[in-house]
Amino acid sequence: MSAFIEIARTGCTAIGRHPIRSTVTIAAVLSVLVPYLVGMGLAEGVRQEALVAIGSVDGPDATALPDLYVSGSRFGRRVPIRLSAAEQISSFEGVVRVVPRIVGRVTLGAKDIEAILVGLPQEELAEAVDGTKIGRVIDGELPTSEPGGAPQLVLGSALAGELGQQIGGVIPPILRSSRGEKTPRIVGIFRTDSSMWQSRVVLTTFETAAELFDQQGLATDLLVHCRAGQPAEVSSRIVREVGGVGDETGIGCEVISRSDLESLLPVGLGHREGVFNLVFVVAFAVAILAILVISGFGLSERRRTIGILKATGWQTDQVLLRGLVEHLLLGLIGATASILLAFVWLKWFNGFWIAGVFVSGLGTSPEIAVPFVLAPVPALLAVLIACLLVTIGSVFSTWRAAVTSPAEAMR
Amino acid sequence: MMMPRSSRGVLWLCGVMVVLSVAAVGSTLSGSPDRLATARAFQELTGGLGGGPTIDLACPAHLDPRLDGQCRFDAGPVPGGSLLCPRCGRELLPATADVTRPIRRTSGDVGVH
Repeated sequence: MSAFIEIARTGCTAIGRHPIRSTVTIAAVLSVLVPYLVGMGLAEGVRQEALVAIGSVDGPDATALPDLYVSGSRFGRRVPIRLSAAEQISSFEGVVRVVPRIVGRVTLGAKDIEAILVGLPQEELAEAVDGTKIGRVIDGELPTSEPGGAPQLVLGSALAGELGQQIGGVIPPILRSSRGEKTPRIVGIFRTDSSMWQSRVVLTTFETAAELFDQQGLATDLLVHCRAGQPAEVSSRIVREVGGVGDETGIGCEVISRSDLESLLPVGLGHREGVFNLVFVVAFAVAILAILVISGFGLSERRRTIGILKATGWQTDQVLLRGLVEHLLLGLIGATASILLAFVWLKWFNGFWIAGVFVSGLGTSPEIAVPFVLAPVPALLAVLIACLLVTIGSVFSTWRAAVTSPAEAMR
Repeated sequence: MMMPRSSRGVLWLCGVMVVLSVAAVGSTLSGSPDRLATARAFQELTGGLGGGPTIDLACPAHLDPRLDGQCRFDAGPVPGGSLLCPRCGRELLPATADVTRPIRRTSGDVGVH
C-alpha cells in the first residue's frame, strides 16, 4: 500500500516539475469547460425564474398568480377581449375574481426605445404586493390614477437607464391620445435584481394604459383566479359559454391554464440549452484530440523521464499509475479552476457577452443582474469530463513511452 | 501559472481549489431563494409576465406564451422559415438585427415621443 502511495506522490511532484506542460494542459481544460459551465449556470437561472413567472412552484413558495388567462380569439390568433366578458366570467361557480390587464408595445423617447406597457387596475396593484414587499421590487411607489392628473409610470431598470430617467422625472414632451396631451411622470423604477423581465417594462394603471392606447373597453387578457381544484371546470365553461365577446362579428375565447404554460415554456429555453449542449459535445470531442496533441508538449522530456524510471527498476504499471495520478490531479485542478472562473464570469462580470446568447435582447454588457445558478450536477460533470479528457489525452503517449526499452526512451 | 514543487504543495492546491469550488456552487444555490422571492413579488405585481428567453416584445410569443400563441416572424411553409425570428431561441449567437426598434409604423402605434 505504501508503495502505491509513494508512486502517487511522485505523480503529484511531476505536476510541479513540469510547470509549462501542466499549465498548458490546465489552460486547455479551462478553454472548454468555462464557457460550458457559464452557459449551464445561465440556463438554470433563467429556468428557475421562468418557473416562478408561470407560478409552477408549489408549496409555501408558490406564486399567487391567476389560474387562467382569457383572451379573445380570431382565426386562431389571440386578440383583445371586451371588458364585459369579465362580468360574465365573475358570475361562474368557482371563480374568485377576474382582473383585466393590458399588455402592449409602446415606444418611448426621441430614440423610439421599445417598451412593454403593462396596465393593471390600481386596487389590484396595491393588493398584489404589501408594503414590505414593494421595496424589494420597486424603488419609489406604485402608480395611481388621478382624474385629470399626469399619468404615473414605473419604468424597468434598463429602460430608465436608456432614457436617462429617474424617480420624479417626466418623459418629454407629451403623451398623445384622443383625450388630449399629458406628460407622464416617473413614480418608480424597478430594481435591477427583481426579475430579468422587468428591464423593459412600463407599469401603470389599467385606466392609464387604456387611455394611452386609446382602446377603451378592451383588455389584452382577463386574469381569472379560481377556487382550488376548479380551474379545469371554469376553463371549459368559459370556452363553452363566453362567446361573442369581441365586436359585432363575434370573437371566440381562448383560455390558457397553468398546465398549458408549463408545457409551452420549456420549448424556447430547452431549445437554446440543447443547441448549446450540442456545440459543447463537438467541443469536447475536439478537446480530446487537442489535449492528445498538447500532451505531446514536452513529450521528449517525458520519454526521457520514463526511460530513467524504467532503467531504475520501475515497472510499466507503476509508470502508468504515476501518469494517471498526475493527470487526474491536473484534471481536478482544471475543473475546479473552471468552476471558479465561471462563478467570477457570472457573478462579477454579470455574464458579459454570453448572457446575450441565452436571453435575447440583452446587450454585450447586460443592464440587469442576470439570473444564474451553478448547480451541483454540471459542476460534478465538469470534474468528470476534465479528468477523463486529460487522462484519455495523455495515457496513450505515457503507455507508448513506458513499453519502449529504457535505452531508446532516454535517447 | 505557479506550480508548487512538492507533492504536499500540489495536494494543498487541489484541496483549496475544491473547497473554493464547493463554496462557489453553494453560494449560488443559497443565494437563489432570495432572488426567487423577489422575482415572485414582481410576478404577483404584474399578474405573471415573462418566462421566455427574451426580455422585449419583439416576439411576444417568446417573451410570454400568454401574450401570443405563435411567432409572428415564423414564415411557416418556407423551408427554414421558422428560423427567421431573431427572438425564438433558435439562433446561437446574439441576433445581428436590431429588433428592439419598431419594424414598421401602424396607425395603432402609440408612444411617448
